[in-house]
Amino acid sequence: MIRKKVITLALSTTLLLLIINILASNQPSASACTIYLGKKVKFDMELSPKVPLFHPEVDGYLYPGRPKITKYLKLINVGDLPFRICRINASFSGDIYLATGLQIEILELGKGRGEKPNLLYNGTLIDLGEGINVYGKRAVPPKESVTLQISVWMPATVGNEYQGLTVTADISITVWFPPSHDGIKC
Amino acid sequence: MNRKILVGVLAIGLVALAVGWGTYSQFSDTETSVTTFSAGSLDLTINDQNGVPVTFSWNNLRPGNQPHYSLTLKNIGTIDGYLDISKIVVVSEENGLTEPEIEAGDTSPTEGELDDVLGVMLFFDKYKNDGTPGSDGWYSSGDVKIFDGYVADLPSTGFNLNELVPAGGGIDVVVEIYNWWKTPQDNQAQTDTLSITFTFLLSQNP
Repeated sequence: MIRKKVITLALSTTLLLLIINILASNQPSASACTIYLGKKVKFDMELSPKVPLFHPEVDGYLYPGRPKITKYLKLINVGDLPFRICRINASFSGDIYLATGLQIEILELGKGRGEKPNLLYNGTLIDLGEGINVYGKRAVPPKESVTLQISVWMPATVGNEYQGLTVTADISITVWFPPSHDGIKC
Repeated sequence: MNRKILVGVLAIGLVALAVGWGTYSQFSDTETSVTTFSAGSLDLTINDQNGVPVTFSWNNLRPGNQPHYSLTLKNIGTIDGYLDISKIVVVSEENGLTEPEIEAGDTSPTEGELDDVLGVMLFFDKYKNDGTPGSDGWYSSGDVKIFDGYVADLPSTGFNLNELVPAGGGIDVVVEIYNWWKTPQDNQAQTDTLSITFTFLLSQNP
């Protein structure tokens, strides 16, 4: 009888621990300070520049066949843990239809000269709205950075339907820890 | 014995928790960059009319007349454009044969002859007669000639002008001067009607 109680208690405890484990893994893991291995660490990333990356007052108007407009966005590791880029998505306001006529290419640049850039995305701007999971090539240590080269253009094949439209796209970059390629989706 | 079993199971659970935590836990951070994209526009107006044909008419035209019209073409879009005349349609109608037309040798009951006797000069009116920049409606030194000949010889495919018209209100003035100088066939054009339609095209590439 006692033996049965012990086994039941043991199984219940194991089940409880597993439930706690699963709940913990589903917690929203924001950039706030988190207890990691008993030490208080910060997982945080900043973008540079902080001003809008593309703007018609600076870059002019897009039109079919215009050469690509290329900008650089730096992801700076201001935390205590390495990170790797894992997701890119965009949200839109204004004339969202314009996003169907724009192409965007996002490259993760290499650290040194001659290192081949890593293509993270090449497609229409509108498709970024659904978000895409990507695998950053580099694990970026604390206090270091990785640069994204972002090019936008309007293909020569599009027509008058896009004339005069303006769209604002908030492009979000998500980085994650652990920085290894172990198949876990961020 | 039971206590040992309990401790053992608890230990297994704790190990599972630790391993599981290491496997599932992850930190992430998302930052957003705001971007704004604007597509340019090309929009051509003629004499401040947008999307509406600009029409001129001249009645009772006769030898010695020299009607002339100025077309002010404006790019009210946001990107520079290049102006062409993409199409010219000439419709010459006989409107029946009068006695003077027949006596002058006009034998075609449907085909008018006004386009054969009426000359036209098209040019960009860039300078006034006194040499200062601007338009005065007449051909002066410095103006850019597009065509000078008979209406019948106007090409239906128009003219590839590649004339740059800057964005935001850039202006170009095209003048049409028609000349009916005396010719032996003048009487054949009596009562004839002539319609000329110029289609202007503003495009982003030359």
